[in-house]
Amino acid sequence: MSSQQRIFLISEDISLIGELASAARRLNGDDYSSIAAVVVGNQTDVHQVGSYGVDSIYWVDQIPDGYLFEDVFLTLLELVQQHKPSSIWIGATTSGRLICGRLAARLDISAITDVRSFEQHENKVVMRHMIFAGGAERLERPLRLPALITVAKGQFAAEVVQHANPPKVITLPFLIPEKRAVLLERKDLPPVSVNLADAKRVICLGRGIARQEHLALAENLADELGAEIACTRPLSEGLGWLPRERYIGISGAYIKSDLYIGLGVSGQVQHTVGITDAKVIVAVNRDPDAPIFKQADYGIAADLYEVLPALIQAIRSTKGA
Amino acid sequence: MNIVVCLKISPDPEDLEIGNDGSVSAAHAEWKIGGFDLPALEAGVRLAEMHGGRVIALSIGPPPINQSKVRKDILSRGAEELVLVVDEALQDVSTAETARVLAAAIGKIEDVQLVLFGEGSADLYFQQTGVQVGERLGWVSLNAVRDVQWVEEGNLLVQRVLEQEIQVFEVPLPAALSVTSDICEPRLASMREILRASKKPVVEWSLADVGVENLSASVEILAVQAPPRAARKGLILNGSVEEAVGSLVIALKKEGML
Ligand SMILES: Cc1cc2nc3c(=O)[nH]c(=O)nc-3n(C[C@H](O)[C@H](O)[C@H](O)COP(=O)(O)OP(=O)(O)OC[C@H]3O[C@@H](n4cnc5c(N)ncnc54)[C@H](O)[C@@H]3O)c2cc1C
Repeated sequence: MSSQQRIFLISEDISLIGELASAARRLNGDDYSSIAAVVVGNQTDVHQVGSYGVDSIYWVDQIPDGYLFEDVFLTLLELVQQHKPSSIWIGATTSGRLICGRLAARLDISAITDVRSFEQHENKVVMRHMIFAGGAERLERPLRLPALITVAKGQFAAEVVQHANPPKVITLPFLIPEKRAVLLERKDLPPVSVNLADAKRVICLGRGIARQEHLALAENLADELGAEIACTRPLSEGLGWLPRERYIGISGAYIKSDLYIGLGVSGQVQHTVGITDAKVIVAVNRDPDAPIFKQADYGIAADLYEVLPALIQAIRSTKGA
Repeated sequence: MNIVVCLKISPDPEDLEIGNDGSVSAAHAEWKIGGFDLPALEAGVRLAEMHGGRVIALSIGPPPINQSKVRKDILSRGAEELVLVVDEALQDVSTAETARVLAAAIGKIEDVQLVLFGEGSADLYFQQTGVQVGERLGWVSLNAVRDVQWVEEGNLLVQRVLEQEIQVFEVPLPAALSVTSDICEPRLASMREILRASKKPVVEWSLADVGVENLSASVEILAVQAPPRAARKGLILNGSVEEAVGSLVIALKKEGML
């Protein structure tokens, strides 16, 4: 293939940089000259990124007060213009998306975001991106360089690489942006209560749950099964009964559990895209025509308020037996 | 002052047809305003209602976006005017092209201080357009905006929600903001608004009208396919609730789930 290429990585999430490095190495094989990571953080962070086998680290040790991680954009743009990397890999976080879009606009290129996998196709890098709320996948490739790619956390495992030489660390000054939003305040969100992506069993509640008090019924089942409680978006964003990290779907969590039990979930695509990797899907819905049944392994077309106690009872008695 | 709200009009993902060979067709799908964009429109309309200003909805795309049902839908939800850039060449364009055309169109609209976007389009969901347009315009741009308030002339108070924190900003205008889908609940149009919608102005531009030539593709699309899916059993368990639950427990045991 073409001459050896430089790869750039950036994320505010240090371990995600490791995942990006794995992804980039997997895609490029030996066909690159160097991987450089842009790191905003302290010595420990730099050390950690070094363990991922990158060749060089551009280190910005501090963002001045009132500025954002994203304001490192200008520093990054300068580097990109100087070194002309063939690809830039960005962690698909909220901050990553902002940096990515600004970079794309300045370079007049498109970003291919949330890349799920990629392949070499006649010497060309081809990427898979989900479209239509998971109803389809699109294979595409950038026609203008650099390739700008974002990858979500958890798609590729970070590998610790033994490198003959430690990475070269180059300290960079933070370039002050001309225009910016002025940060007045930052507040930590309550700690995330669950990572649904890691759950082995999931009980998912939909609008069929009539009242917030009824969540307790489902929690009994969850306790019985050692399952995590999840929900559809309306229960979280609309009603606020459960925190954001517990809703499944295109704009929420993707699960890969052994078991998913949907109670009063209709099965709209925006939700079901998040459960396609579940091994066994059970659906309880009183509407026999609910779309969820087509995507389920086992369905019970009945009132969830009758099914729940019966199911808890039945599971208890099998355990007792 | 004008507030522009950018809306993507695209085939409804619910209406996709998947062939046995994994092919995907949107040929019979209804074209709709993206579900993520409706909250952006509502947020713009609320800002205008509270602080004055006019909301102009803007959408670009291939000819199917220009349908009376969609136009009415947009205009009955509080936008005072609709600008469409319609061109065959806008079929399947990528984010760079979309952002370029939107920025050009916004440049042609007078006195725009604020542009709002949804968090992503209903069909592609790249979550890039708002940020790219803002940068192309040379404006401050932020994504994941969950609250916008007018503070004083030329300034907004903006709340942004990230994975682990909330940030509060003062944002100087002009600005481009991509809002989250829970920023506010989109209204249902009243009868009065539906009637009023047909009297509101719709401006139709071509690419040439907004001064865009040579819209060369930045991305090549090689294939669109249905994702590989685990085959599901699709069994409905019959009988009384007790019987169905009994069958379920047996089945789950067999699957090694219990
Ligand atoms: C742009 C966009 C993005 C979205 N992103 C997401 C997302 O990420 N995640 C997500 O979940 N949704 C998302 N949605 C919303 C999604 O389209 C659906 O509206 C939502 O998933 C429906 O939730 P539900 O199944 O709980 O509610 P409903 O669709 O209202 O279904 C409730 C179901 O419960 C059944 N039911 C009622 N009472 C009982 C009872 N007593 N016993 C048994 N069954 C009962 C009903 O028959 C019905 O099928 C998105 C929508 C849009 C437009």
